[in-house]
Amino acid sequence: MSEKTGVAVLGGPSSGKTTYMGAVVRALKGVKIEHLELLDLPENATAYERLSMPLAKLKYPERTNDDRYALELPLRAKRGETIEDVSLLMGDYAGEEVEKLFRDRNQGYSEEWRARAHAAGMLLLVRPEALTPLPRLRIAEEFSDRDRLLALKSSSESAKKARSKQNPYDDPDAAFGTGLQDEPEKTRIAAPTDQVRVPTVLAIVELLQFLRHERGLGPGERPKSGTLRIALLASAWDSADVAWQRKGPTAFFNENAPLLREFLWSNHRPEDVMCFGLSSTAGNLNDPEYQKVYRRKRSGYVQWSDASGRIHQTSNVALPIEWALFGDEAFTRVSDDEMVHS
Amino acid sequence: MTLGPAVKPLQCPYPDCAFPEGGRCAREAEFDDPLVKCESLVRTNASPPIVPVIVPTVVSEKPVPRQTSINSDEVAPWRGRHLNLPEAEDIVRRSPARVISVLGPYNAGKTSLLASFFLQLANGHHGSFPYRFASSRTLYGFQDLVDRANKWSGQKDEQIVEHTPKDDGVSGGRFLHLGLRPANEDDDRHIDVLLSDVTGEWIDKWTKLANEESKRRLAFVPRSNGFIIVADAEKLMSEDGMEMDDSIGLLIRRTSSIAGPGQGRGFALILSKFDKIIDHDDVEIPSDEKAQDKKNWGELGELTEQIWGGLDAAKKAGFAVRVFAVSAFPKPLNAGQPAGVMAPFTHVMTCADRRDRWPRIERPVPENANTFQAMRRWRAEP
Repeated sequence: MSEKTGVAVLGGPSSGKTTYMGAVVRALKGVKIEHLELLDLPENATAYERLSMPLAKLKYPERTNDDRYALELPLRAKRGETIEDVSLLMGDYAGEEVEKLFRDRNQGYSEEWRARAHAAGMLLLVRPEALTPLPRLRIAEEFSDRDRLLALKSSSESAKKARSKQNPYDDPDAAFGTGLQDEPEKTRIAAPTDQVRVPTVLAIVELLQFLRHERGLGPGERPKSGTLRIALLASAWDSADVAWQRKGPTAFFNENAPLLREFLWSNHRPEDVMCFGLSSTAGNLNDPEYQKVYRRKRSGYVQWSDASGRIHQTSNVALPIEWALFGDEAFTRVSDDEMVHS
Repeated sequence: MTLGPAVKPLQCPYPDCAFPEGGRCAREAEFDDPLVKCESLVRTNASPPIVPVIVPTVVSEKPVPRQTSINSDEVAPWRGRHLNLPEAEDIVRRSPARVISVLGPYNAGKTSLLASFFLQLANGHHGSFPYRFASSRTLYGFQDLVDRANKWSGQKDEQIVEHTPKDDGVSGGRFLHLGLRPANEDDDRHIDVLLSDVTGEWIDKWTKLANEESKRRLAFVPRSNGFIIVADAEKLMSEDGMEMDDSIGLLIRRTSSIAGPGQGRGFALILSKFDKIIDHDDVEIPSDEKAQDKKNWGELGELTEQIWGGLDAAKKAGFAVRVFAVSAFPKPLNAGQPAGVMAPFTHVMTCADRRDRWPRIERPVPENANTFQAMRRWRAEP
């Protein structure tokens, strides 16, 4: 008897939810994922077709407007010697709903949303471009409040002071990597002339607050380990700045969405939050040249950082779902783990 | 009428126990479920006292529009906008929330300060602020402020954020809410913080005449755990500077007298819009330690006699007074960072969150100690 397990796929407009679900359905229907097997198709397979067929035609699935599809994936998971049947429930909806719910609180918080609160895991998709402009990676340098005020003087030279005066090769960490990280890397410190970024993740943070509230979790209450895992997915990772691809998705989120990271740090256990870089199609399907590549390859990829900061990659696009269901155990079953940046 | 006192349904005599505030139980090693098993936890009346703390004596003349299209089943759990007094009270009942009064005359830059503070927090630029974002019941309120600030082109005559409307919070306050978690991983609490955001016109009236009506509008002041007084530095240096000095001096005295004994509560004076006077030859920017003496502020110190007099009085009343130079929006958002925004919040929050801790228990090392135990003695001895 399979137990129905929900994984909520959350994200704002154009965050890549539909494309990701299409890629997962295609991968499961094929034989790309060794230890996750799709059991019977349901009687109504409209959602399967709608999500995966456009990719077969080398197009992105169309954005969801009023159409809503609840996708049920009866899966058989092989966990070592044991076999476990799970029924994965994922819903597709227009990302605009998240923004609308943030602005207009009087409608739109439907039963469907409430049901998402009880999912075993949540996949949170954020498109890197939504967090633009990306800042340049620079070496952190402390600025006191007095320095900042002095920099406001019109005659001040300190305002023009370059922050990266230190040769990065003088820094062993920059040359050889940080080794095993026992604490998260510090985010950079803004120089007086750096722009102030306007947070774009407030609607997502509010949505997470609603879902936590629905689940009966108080503010700051960390749920029991393993009961609610949250995977942060930077979608369209192939198009992200190369510097970020080298630093990895964890560094990317730490730097570009600090409010979201702090919210998750404050409300969840560290082992229940994981950052991934996701490319559902491994390139841009709108590019005719890439279409030829995708026709042969037909898969995307997922990247993640390990404890030493090394970046790994797999073509198993369902890895974030497996991680949301089974935790770090999912990484041990990746058969095509490739280290792309060390 | 005022915000009720902090309600603590659970209390623990152990000074290091943060369990009643959502943190760790001091005896967590002894119990798997301290809420059920720890006998040190004292349950006061489980249901919070339902005190009718608000008596709306002023009825808005504007008819409230009836929203017929609302599907009550699909209403979000909270509004996300500024909190009114009843909503703030709900939070105060839930936890011992810290209330920070942000006070200052009209156009001093109070709302800009709050918007800039949130932006710094959201961008991870904490400076010395020892807390991290954990929750907020007013995220849309913050988003609204930030969006408006983002539209500011940098023109001097253009408003950075909208002035706080006079009609809002007529029955005792208007608040922004933040839930914070100490950055120190050993401290597992979630701390609710309510930041007042009321119009300067009411504050002006309250300063001049603290009658029933004006007291009701600033009902949160006596309950506040910290105070931030915002004074427009540019105006203090202008021709109207003496008048401004007088009114801010009065505001400081009014605040400290209505707030009652200081009891170590943080009291921060912010000299706002400092970027506009930074090029004056006679204005000094003292370092943190020297900033507490008016002599070190150059001409600005000389022009603010009444303010410093008020601060001296607040100090004598037991408040922890500090002065800060702040520039919340020196340039449009895409052109530069603010200066000094986090420091006053660090000061008031550190004072508001001060906890008496028991000293570490040092067990004596026995004379015939084994090697491992003796290492402790070796480490302790100079």
